[in-house]
Amino acid sequence: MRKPPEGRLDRKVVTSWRLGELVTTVLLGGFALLIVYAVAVQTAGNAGPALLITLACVVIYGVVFVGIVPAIRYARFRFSVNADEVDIMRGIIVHKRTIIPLVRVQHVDTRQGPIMRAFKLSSVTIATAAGMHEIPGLPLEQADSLRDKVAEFARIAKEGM
Amino acid sequence: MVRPSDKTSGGVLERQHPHKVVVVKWALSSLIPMIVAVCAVAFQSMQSLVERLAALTGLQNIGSIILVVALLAVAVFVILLGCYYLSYRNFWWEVADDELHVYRGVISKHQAHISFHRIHSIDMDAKVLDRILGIVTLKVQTAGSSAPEAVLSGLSLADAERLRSYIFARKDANVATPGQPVPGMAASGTAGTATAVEAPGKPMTGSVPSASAARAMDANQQVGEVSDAFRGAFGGTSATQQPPDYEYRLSMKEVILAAITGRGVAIAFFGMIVAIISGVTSLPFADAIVEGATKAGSAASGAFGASFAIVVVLFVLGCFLLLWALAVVASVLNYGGFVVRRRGDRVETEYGLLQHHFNGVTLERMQSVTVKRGWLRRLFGYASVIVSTVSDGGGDSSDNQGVNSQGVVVHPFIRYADVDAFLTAALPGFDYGEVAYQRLPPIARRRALNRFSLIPLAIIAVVLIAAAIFFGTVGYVAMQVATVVCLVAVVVILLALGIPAAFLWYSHAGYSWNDRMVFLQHGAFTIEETRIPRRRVQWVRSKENPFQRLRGLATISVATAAGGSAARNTLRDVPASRAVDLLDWACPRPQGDVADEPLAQAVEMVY
Repeated sequence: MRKPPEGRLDRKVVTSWRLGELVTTVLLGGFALLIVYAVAVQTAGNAGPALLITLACVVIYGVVFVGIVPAIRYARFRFSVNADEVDIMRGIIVHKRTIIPLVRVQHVDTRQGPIMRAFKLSSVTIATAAGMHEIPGLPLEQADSLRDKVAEFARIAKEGM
Repeated sequence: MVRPSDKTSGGVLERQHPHKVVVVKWALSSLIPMIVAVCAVAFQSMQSLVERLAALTGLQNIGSIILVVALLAVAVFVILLGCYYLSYRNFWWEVADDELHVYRGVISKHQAHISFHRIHSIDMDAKVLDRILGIVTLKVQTAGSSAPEAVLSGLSLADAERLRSYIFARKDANVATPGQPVPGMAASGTAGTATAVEAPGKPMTGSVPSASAARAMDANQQVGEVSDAFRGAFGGTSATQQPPDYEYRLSMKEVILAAITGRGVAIAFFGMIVAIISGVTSLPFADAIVEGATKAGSAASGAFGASFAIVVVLFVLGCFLLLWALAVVASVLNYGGFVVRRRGDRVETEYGLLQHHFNGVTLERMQSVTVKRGWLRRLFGYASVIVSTVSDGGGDSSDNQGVNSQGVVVHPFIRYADVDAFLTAALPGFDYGEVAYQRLPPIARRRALNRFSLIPLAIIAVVLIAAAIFFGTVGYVAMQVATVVCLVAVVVILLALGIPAAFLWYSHAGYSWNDRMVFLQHGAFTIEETRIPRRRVQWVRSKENPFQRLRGLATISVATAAGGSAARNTLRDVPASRAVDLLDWACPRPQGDVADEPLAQAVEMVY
């Protein structure tokens, strides 16, 4: 029986995800409120109840995706890298476990969005001929060294084949 | 046509254009959709169109209006000819020693330089118009890209086969004796033969008699003969430099049987059901039922009803047979003249009575093999063999019939018992005798029943009942009747097809793996057996939703570089422990290899 991988993401990634989701919620929620307001004023004349319902929806969305989901996503995400394979375990409702043999790794990148940059975090993406796999939210140095190690292991593994 | 500046010591750079007739083809293939669109609009409002044209031109009789329209079409055609002549002038390729240069573009220019060793396959397609004009479209496929790297349209068949054989001869020559050029394009008598460049170190016809050169020359002469014999159509033997290691031609009888037992029945059946449901739920019919119900009891209406029912049944049966016949004819036209052959590591398929296709795939590009058996074929013990290649799911899937999300059909109709012998001969490396599949645990059957029948039934029933109640409260009786009829139809279909489908799916589902390959089998009415060599596995995933977790089950997916057909490489409801075993299997690690130990210690790193 295979043990769950032991690598964890940086704890700060939860806050960065929260921030990202907050921005999305505020933007989408504001947009939704505007539209509902415009439509309600046009049709009913009184926008109050419709706005309240929309606001409630936005708040529920915010509580779920800002308050709850990032913490669970962090808790569920595990990964490990060794000389043979990359092992990624993730998923909140549907649990997924992916094994990527290092021989199949085509290239490894680190990437960073503006929010990640503010938190000094970086994501490692591992590309195979059948798509990308991402390990999000590692401290910069760890992401860089992980990227270099995966690239190195992949090279060694390919030579060994 | 040879530009002096292009003469390099490395090879013959001779600018080659497509055949001039391709301008006509391009213009026609732009014009025909336009005409179709105009016709569609015209039939919609023929009357007003004629009136408007008459008002516009001052012409009165229909004849002169048609004349004006025809003249307009001719004018558009001439303009198109002019435009496409420009793109024809700006589209050429050069065949160098070990590279193909393709230049195209009128305003924005494109250049592609493809070295021969990157070329995996060269496919040829000829649509109906191409075959009338006697030209083909050549698609150059390379490793690492899913769309064709270069598309050379409008070569004459002779030129296409010559180019193909030249490139493969060069490829082989480079592998065998690097630096030994072989005579190619110039040797085979295009317009460029006389102006061939006699640069030092670049021997032309007869200058250097090497074995590979002689072989390539033979091949080229053979090309000439074949092309002369088959003008405008594909030749009997293909013009490659080596004879096939394996060849199978489908007889016309097999093609017809394949078409009859193919997907046509299912297509016709579902077409019929859709027609029935849309007919029954259409308002006039529902109104008629309501009317009939109010008049019920009169003997006359009963007799009328009976004859009406017979007419309806006959009509439905007729529709079904017509749809089936059409599907069979289409399939025969598509797969007529099917040939599969293997030369070394290239597997070529050629098929099509009207549109002709020529596909070449190297064994390297093949990711998985699927043996597919529809229920009708299973009765006769026949199957079809489909290969997923790297180019699957690429952007070109719409215009390349052989290569789509379904994969490349390498044998459309084969006796199931002969499949393994066929794989040994045609697709070496994919053969593996009898496979002992492991069955799924019984709980998977109940979950299949839910998935195929009960859950969709519940959802659709709730929606339709809500709709019926809504129509009832609004008082729209005809619509309510239509909804109820629809509900009954859905319930009948989901119970009559869904329940057997679930049991069949469970009885067919199975998995197995060994150190070479993983085998997955599933499908309810059509059984698909997919085998994926471990060398082709890009990653493996085990997935559990909450219900599966409760039962200790998991869904396994095996990804290959052939994207598109992922559903085939997935199996639901495998025991979770076996799913974990498959994860362990994914990594081809050398067992107990001493040399690996220091490395393993050095790199043992866990975050």
